[in-house]
Amino acid sequence: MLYRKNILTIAALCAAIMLAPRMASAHAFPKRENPAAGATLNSPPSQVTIDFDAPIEKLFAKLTVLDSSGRNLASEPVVGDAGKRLSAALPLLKPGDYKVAWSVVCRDSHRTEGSYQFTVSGSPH
Amino acid sequence: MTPIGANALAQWPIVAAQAIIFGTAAFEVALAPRDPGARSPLLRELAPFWIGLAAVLIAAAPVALLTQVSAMAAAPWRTAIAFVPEVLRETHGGRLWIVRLIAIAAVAAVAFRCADHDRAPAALAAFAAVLILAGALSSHAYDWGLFMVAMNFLHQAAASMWAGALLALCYGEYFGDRDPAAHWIHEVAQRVSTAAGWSVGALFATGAILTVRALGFDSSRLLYSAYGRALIFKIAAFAAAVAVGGYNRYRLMPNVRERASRRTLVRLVAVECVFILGVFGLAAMLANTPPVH
Repeated sequence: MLYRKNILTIAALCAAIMLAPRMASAHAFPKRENPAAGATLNSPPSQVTIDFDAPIEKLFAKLTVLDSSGRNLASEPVVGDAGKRLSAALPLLKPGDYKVAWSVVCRDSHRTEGSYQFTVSGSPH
Repeated sequence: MTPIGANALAQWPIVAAQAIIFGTAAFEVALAPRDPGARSPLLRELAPFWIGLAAVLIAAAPVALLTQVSAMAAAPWRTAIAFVPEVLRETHGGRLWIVRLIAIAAVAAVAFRCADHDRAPAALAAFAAVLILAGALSSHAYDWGLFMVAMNFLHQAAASMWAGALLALCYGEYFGDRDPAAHWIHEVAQRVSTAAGWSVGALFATGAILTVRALGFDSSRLLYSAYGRALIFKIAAFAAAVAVGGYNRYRLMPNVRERASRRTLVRLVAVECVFILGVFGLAAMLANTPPVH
């Protein structure tokens, strides 16, 4: 009887794990970037947007878009979409390579950072 | 030192002190033997110990807060001081720090009155539980939902009960003046053993749930990630403590009325406590290591 009770308890715990809502993982990491990492664009983007898999703190959110001379072209970053989206407006970009660098602090107070590149091949309209 | 190592080192004394306060106070309230209508003799013996642990919390809290803000801002301590008010006001972790600081002040206030108030240990356990809950709400589990926060809280509470029961036994044996000592330790050891058994069961169940949530069912993640390797060390320290506890329970406890067995039991319980303190350190390390992504 006790053995059966233990089995039922373990089964209930396993079910709870499986049924627990699959939320984002701890420490915030990018889920989707726009423009995408490594993308070559025919027309220049008007903004850079990164969607994270966990809510981030507005206070420490940073996003820069550097041109080949190392100059930051992005405006002050904005946090939206329930704290999961980081975006910054861009001026009209000339053809060339651009480096996006981001750093955020997750709600669990842990910091993550990263960078990626995209290329604008078309001439600005 | 990396921000992960610095954060873990700064949080270790807090994790250990709040766990020991919760465990010893809960043991004193629920399990310590006492004569009907009389005060527990353990209460007076534990009072200075609780004052010492409250002092550890008061000393370690500003260091841990500043280390955390420094890691959040990616700035040295001197620069990070300027961020502290903003972090406390505007971030989730900062607001939990306000709760923590209030709870630490309450723990200190109650600890100084413990020796003379019968209900003080219950208040102490409650404030330490608030500290543990604040830790659970600022852990990785927070991003996994309230069910995982509850699992994290239960995990910490079970570890605290285990450590607290063992330390209460050691402390009572070293500092208590009882006649006959053999009778007291026989009675307490039985209760400690029962509490430890339930705690280990709860630790195993909640630990398994948290591990599966952090690593999934892929064993390679255990071996080839920083989080997985830190977890292996924690499980090894936990297993060592359980092994010592098992030896105490099944080999030494049946003969605890003998003086030699009693001395060996108390010594090995102290060894078990050292392993558990190691587990607390590795838990602090794990709490600051990114889970597999």
